[in-house]
Amino acid sequence: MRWEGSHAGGRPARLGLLIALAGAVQAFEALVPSPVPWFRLGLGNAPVLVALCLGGLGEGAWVGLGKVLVGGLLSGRLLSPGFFLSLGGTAAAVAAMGAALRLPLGLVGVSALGAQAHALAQLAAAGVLLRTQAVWSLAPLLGLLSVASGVLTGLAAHALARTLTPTRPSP
Amino acid sequence: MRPRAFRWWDALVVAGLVLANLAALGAVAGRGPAAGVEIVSPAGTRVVPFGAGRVEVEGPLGVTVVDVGPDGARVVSSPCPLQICVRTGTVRRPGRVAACVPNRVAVRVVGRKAGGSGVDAVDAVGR
Amino acid sequence: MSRIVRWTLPLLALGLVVAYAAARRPAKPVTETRFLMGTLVTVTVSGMPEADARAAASAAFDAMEAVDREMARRPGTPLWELNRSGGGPVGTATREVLGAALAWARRTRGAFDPTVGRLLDLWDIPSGPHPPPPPDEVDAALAHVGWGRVRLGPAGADLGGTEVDLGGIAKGYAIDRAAEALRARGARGFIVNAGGDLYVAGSRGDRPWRIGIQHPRGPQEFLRVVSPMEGALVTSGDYERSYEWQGERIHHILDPRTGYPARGCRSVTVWAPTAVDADALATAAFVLGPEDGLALLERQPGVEGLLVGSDGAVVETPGFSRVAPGVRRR
Repeated sequence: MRWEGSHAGGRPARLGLLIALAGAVQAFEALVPSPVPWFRLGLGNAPVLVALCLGGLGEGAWVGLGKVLVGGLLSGRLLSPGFFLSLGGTAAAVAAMGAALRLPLGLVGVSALGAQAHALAQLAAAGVLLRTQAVWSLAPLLGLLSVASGVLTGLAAHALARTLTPTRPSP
Repeated sequence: MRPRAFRWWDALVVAGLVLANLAALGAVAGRGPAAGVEIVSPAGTRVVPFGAGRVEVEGPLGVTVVDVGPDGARVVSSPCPLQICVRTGTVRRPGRVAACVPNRVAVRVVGRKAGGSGVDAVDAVGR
Repeated sequence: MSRIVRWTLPLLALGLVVAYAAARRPAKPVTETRFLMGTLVTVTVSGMPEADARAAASAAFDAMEAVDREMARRPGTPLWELNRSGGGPVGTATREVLGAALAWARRTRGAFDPTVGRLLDLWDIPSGPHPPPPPDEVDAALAHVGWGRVRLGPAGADLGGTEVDLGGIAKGYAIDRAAEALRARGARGFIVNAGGDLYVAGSRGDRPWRIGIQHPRGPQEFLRVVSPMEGALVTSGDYERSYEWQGERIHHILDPRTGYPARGCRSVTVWAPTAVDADALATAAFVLGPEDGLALLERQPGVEGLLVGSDGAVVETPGFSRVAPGVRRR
């Protein structure tokens, strides 16, 4: 499912577009109050997933990194503890989704797995940062919310991918 | 070629993840964050895990000895005149306290089980 | 796609609903404990953020400590000085409590009597098991008991040769002040527990408060488990401060009319709008015994009670079940 032909002017433009999108969503989500600490809607992973499935693991990793950096810059949280949680979580999500794409799954399933991995990685990172394992008591709750958001993100990624890959060959 | 949003396995994957988390929720809700025996003394308050055995607590009158068992605790000995703390016996249920007032020592069961919704659980004892 | 959407979306909704429901679970009540007023005092507050709850509890303890510092009978307190001098000016709080104590002494015809200081000193229960005092010493101490001899006027109090101990009512007063302090700081659901004498308000948030009434002979048992609505629940029992001496139970609730530990009841639990009244009534009813004690409680408006006689028989006021919508026998 490689995206060879150019639709919007080449790989740098694609990457830029996806990173900008992911970073913006990431920053906006930080404004939304959440019942559970660290839980964000995770829609920022939709561009990451699109990059993974259309451009491969490398491109997915770049978009993931870009998402965390741009999101951190925009929300003023660069290098804060939450930033590191986000970095770890996104890395895990990229890895999980990259692997899941090899399975016969649709974007929803891949994204759900990615979201669950994201949540687990964040808990692990928080456990290290706060030096306590008590954070794991949040795991089931965070997990449920993450899976739900993963489904939404998968749908969003699907919609995004559709707009970026026209069915008609470009002129 | 566009990726698909759904395939058969997705429903299974999502269902599996949801169930796994629900199961974990059940497991976490069962255990308590700090289940054990809370011992209040002039030195401070601490929670001793169940099964810790014999615990010595210092107070103004001397040493109160508490035996922390697998599901409760009792005051074994204390340097007070009336020995009411010892006579209280084992405290197991949430809401029950064994206290040696002269020696400023109080023993109580705490944790998720304590103050919960068990039939035995009370929030306070009128005595 | 629509077929699978029908699958996944309900599961998603289920997951979200469960997660939000779990996240909205009310926080566990906050509990603070201190040794105060010669007993273990626990303040439990629910429905408030932890920091606010602890601040409110702290204010409650301060209120109780203020009462204790003024009205405890130990060297240095204003009450101690009042007893030393046989009379003199009284502070506002002491005036209120002494006035209430004398009023209850009148209403109970001396079953509750704040002038039992000499008797309490004679029996000296807190010091531990020792032989009971001989009858002539009891009579000598009894000569200094008599609520009718106390005069409380605008200038102050004249104790008329008696020794005043406010222990049977000051704790209730302190509990009421603590409840006031908690309410002033916005707490709506709380329990003030001073050694088993309670003031209960509101609920635990997710359910009503559950209070176990101690069984007088079974340390692990409850007589009843009640869920009282706003009010005070005070229990007087022969098991709290007591010891056995040659087969007899020597306890701290003395009959002011005879000078000996009251023998009619094993325990009395009174529910009343204020702890100061519940405290006085519990003591009085205990001294009067199950029959007269029950009659006393029935006469008081808004008051309910549960009495356990010396034979173990349990009697209660007709409205006691109203105290607790969910009263269960245990």
